[in-house]
Amino acid sequence: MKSLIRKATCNACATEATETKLSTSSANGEQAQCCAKISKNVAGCHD
Amino acid sequence: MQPSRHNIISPISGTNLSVLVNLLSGNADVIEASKAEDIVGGKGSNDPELVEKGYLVDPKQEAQRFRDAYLEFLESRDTDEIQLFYVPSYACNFNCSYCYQNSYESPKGSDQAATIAAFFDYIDRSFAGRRKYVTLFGGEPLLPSESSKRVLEGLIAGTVARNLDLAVVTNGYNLERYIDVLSSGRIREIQVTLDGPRPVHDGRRHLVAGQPTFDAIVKGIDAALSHGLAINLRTVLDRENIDAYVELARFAIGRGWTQNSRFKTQIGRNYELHECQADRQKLYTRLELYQDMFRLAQEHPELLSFHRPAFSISRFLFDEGKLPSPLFDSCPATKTEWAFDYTGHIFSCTATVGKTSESLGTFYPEVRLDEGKVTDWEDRDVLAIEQCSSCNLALACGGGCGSVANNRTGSVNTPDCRPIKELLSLGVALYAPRDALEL
Repeated sequence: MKSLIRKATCNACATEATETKLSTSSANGEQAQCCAKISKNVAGCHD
Repeated sequence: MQPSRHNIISPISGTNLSVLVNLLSGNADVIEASKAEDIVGGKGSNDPELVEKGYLVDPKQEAQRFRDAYLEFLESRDTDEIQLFYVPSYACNFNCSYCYQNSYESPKGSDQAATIAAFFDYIDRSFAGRRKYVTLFGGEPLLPSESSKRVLEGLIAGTVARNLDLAVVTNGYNLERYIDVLSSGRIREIQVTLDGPRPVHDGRRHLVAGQPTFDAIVKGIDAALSHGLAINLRTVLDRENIDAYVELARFAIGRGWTQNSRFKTQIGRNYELHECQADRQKLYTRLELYQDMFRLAQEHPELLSFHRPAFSISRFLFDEGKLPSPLFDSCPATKTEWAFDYTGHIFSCTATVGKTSESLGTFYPEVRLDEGKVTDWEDRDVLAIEQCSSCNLALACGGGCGSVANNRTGSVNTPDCRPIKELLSLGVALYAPRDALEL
């Protein structure tokens, strides 16, 4: 089983996780810069 | 623990592997096909990796995660940018073989100053505080007439005064002569269509009297790019021109367009939106189109430097290294898209604009909105569509196009299903790096 999700490291809390997880987690109660990333919907109506 | 309701498992084309995707947990993995079958069958229910990645779940916890994701989706959509289309006329100087607007009525050189003023008044009031931009649509909005020029100038003045971007959808034939006017606006992009290299394009997208249009459009694209105007090059594809798409790609690459950061591409599928076409044999289903795109991209990899087909969520997954957010609704109509035309009518989107039976109200001469009809569109998402509520593909599909569904079933709140599994099968095979497919 091999993940297709790239890992990222939060530059504030040094957590290594998928960006999606970082986006929904918080470091010590504060949203770090990379933790604040929210992925956008892109699979639009014409795809 | 049970298999997630949102697991999508698809065999990867040309391999003995499968891809396992879960948009709710945000995970995507390549796995052995046999292991995929085990997951579907509920075996391996103690595998900690499957639990960690949300492929095996406590149903109650997953239901809570689903609700949280839905609320996040609604909140995100409420602050998303709205695209507002304005159609000054359905008249066109082209006679494309697949046009769906042929029967639409057009004004005869009318002064639209009052209508355009009413359009801006309406969007100021109805979309106050929302991020938004305007798109000039048609018919063909850049005709060589004074009235077309006045409409463009009016929309540029209105958008510039409000710090709004303006996009333009044109066949591109008169683009070169409009460059100076366009350069005075906040132009986000200009969508132009080329259906292939010269002979193929001219056979499909010619003037009303049959004259060729390719060379004039190419000049317009060159002029726009040299003036820093962004071009979104669209190609409408069917079996008739699919193989010529490679030649169009080579033409664009050779002309330096693909090296320009302000140049991008999109594909459209020739399909029957409102009426039947004469030569239906040439039409693709969505899957058939992507199957042929897959074949072309494998035979001619240079094609991908011209256009990277989405294959559902596949392109995003490999370009971004993550999955997109769960797609609870793929239909933007009345949520992040509205359309307005010169008659003063309001429509849900570009698919319905101009169909008087689908008018949702008017912005001129009086403001009137049929709230019941609007609510039907607003409510449409994968929770409202019964068939979507039990579909494991729903968060990748989003329920498809509301207008297509409405044309087929008579109800907006029915699905326009997308072949997600099949598209994933092709897209992962095309875009996955080689080492990702070595377990």
